[in-house]
Amino acid sequence: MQKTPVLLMAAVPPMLIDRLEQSYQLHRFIPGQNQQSLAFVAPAIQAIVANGESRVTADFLSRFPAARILAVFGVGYDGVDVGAARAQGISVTHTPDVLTDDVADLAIALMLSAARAVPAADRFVRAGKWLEGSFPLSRKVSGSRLGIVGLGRIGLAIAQRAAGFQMEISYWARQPKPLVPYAYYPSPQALASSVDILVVSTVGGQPTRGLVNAEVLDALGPHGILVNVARGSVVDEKALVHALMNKNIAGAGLDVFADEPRVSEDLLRMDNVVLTPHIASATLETRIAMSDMVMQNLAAHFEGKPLISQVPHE
Amino acid sequence: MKPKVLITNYVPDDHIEPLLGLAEIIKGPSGGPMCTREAVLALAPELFGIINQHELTVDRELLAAAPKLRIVANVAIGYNNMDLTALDEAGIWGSNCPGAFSESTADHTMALLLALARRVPEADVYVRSGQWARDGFQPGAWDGTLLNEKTIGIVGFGEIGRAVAKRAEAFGMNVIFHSNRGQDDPRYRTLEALLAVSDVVSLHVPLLPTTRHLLSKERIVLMKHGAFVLNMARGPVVDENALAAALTCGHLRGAGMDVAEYEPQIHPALREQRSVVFTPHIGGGTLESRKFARLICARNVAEVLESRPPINPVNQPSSRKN
Repeated sequence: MQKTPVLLMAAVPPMLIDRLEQSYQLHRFIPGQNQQSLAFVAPAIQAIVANGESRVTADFLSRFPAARILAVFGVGYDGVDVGAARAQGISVTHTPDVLTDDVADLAIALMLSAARAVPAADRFVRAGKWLEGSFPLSRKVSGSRLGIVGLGRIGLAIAQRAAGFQMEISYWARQPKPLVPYAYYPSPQALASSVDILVVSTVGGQPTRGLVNAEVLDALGPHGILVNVARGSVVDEKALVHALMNKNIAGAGLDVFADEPRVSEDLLRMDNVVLTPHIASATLETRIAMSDMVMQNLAAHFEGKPLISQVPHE
Repeated sequence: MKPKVLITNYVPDDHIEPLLGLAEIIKGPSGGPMCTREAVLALAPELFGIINQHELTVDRELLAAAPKLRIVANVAIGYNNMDLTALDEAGIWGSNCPGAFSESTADHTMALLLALARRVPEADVYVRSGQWARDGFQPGAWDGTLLNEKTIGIVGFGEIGRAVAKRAEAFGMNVIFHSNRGQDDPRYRTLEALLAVSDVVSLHVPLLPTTRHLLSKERIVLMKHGAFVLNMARGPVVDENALAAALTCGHLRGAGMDVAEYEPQIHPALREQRSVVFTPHIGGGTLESRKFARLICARNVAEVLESRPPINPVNQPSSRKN
């Protein structure tokens, strides 16, 4: 039997590629590459697989008139024109929930790594500097004040972990959340002025662009630490570089960047930042769960069953 | 004239507030090094109390030179710098700071565990090298380990071990422990049983003759394939030759080392491993914990100045001097 043609338009783990190839006739196309061959198969494509970084415009989708599902490998889909997809009769799915624990773990990993200077201490030891003297003391994390920007599933999971460190937790979100025991602040700036560590875990895209700006960073203050596991766009990166260079804040732990995978040269040279290559959801356990979810959404679609995890309606 | 108390390094007055007004305070040099032993011996004849960072060897020679001495206070949990028998015979108190560093040490334990599980220092080196910009996204290449539902085996379940347990539980980890107390607790395991099932083995025992090379080659062999080791205790608790071999062959996935067997020297085979995260014995040391510990020391000395026992004695002097 002929397999159904599916387009893979972004980098996904090899394990998912293998599974897609087993079940479908997979056409791999990374935008910017092999344009001609794509034009040949485009009319036959029934489904598209993207990742959380993909930019999927109305123009791009219009080249696939037979596609009815766009399965995003990732929780974020701010690069997808969901309205255009719906208008064309394409359902959009993503992989929420399964990566909540990983992202929350990495947020705390970056918080502790930045506050206790773990990569800098590791460099210090490996360079033999321990033989020459001691490493400067850092500030204590447990018992300090944590502010969470965006208290969705991931923000709540971060709060749950931080409670193990007896941190005093507060948050900002567009609306105060009922039934959470944490103090609400009406703006990111008000939140930042009341905490020692600010963790960003909002959605990306236009609504949160530049939300953490120079004023918020100034409010965080010279002992403050910023952690971003959301999207690079949420933080005004120029203002962040300026704040770090001028010691307006003490340090930062960053998994996402404005122009990733390119990272500002200024950040690369700073000792008081911890930089990871957008790996918040990168654990083997979660790769498998996310891959399962992509496969299940595609299978449900082709079997005419309800989809597992459609993106929410606005 | 007020009794003299020596602090072997420089500290601000608000870290020794209980002593202000009670004693004449002699501080060590500001900006780094502590008083040399020679300097302490020269001052010794006049001293009522000494506060040190655990660096000063308190032996019969020192005590013989210090006829007025009543207390030696360590800004540390450990006190193996003190000859307790000699202190007892001379009627001098020793004191330490239990608890002062526990929370910071437990925080740092989780910092090392998460740094290992998510390969943070390695990733930081990668991003800084500019290689990420050349490689682009490589899904799967940076897969780490999720802590949820993994088992952490805590060896030594005192104040620090329990503080680690509380933090680990907040990540959804299963906690088991081994200790010479607490066998009634359902989480208690023999050391061998703990090693066999733990995804993470975290060491929080004092260094004693019985804990030297507690994690020996034979015991590392018992560990689960792909497990992590965290040494927050003392370097010699782990046989580093055996650890290096277990990491090289892939039996163990990684190690977080805040202490080293021959610190500040690092085992050359461990230094080559990217699967090891090192920190230079900074687990308990934060600005807050250091200040808190100094305040405890000052309070212990103040108690003895007022003819009471210290709050945190490490010995029981047999004969009090008057």
